[in-house]
Amino acid sequence: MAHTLLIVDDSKVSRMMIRSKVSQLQPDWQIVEAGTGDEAVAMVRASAPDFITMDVNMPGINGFEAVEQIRAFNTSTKIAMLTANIQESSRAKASDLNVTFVQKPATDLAIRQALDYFLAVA
Amino acid sequence: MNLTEIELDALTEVFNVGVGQAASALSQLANATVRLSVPKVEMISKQNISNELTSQGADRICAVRQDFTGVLNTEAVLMFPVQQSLQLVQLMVGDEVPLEQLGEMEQEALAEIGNILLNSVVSGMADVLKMQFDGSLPTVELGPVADVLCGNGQMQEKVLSLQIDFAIDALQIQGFLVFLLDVESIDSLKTTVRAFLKDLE
Repeated sequence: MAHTLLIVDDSKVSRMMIRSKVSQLQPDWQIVEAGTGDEAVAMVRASAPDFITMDVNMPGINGFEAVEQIRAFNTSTKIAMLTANIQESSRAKASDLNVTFVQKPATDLAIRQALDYFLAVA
Repeated sequence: MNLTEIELDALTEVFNVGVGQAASALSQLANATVRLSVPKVEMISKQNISNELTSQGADRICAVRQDFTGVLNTEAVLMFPVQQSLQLVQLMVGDEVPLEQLGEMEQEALAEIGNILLNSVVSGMADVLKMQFDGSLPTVELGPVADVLCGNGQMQEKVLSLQIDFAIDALQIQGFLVFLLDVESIDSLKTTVRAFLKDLE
């Protein structure tokens, strides 16, 4: 089944990396991108994607703040936080927000991990 | 010699991943939440870096240096204002050691912090750009900015510079990580980054 994925990352190169790997594994997915947390919140509000990969460190609102805002009106989209910096404090936050963590860099393995999470039957 | 915007964006992402991994390691060491980010990557002259550090009131800096050899050869220099580097060490080793007595431990602790940071950044770069590097042992140096940056060479020479923002608890530090690269190494870096970007198209 064709799913929609929203890639949120302030780095264009990072979005390119994630897009390139996801489209190799899931060529029929529709992929959209947001460069800031605010943009992501607005896009989800307009049309909720099935899945989101969310960068954590971004200028403006960070990935966690964006997810908090999204979770206020959307609980169904599956979200994977992509970050190199996974610390205890953020693990607790992730479980509160019902999201998972995937370690950056966006290697094949990391992207596979995110896709497995997205496609796992709840 | 200069890198384009998208090439710098690629390096910024690579370096952010590297310092992110370092933050995760340092947070275990400090038992506190550590935030590290690289807001800016640019090719600038040593003189510009010196000006920036001096404008922060840092006439003397503390530097951790490490050589990396491989596809490209570089000396990586991590620099913090001296006073802030002391606070950083104190956060890492805990409050029980007063600031005045930190002297002996300072160099060792800084070498360790620098080692974690430099290696995370370089191995992040190696992983993403598929390069291989060997690293020397870190050395710590204290002194005026110009001396540390310009042991040999000219202040007008350009270097690849990463501004590093460091936050542990309430402490905020701004440092620089500089890669000293010769012309050949800049060429290999450019070639590697271009090949990496082409792969994504």
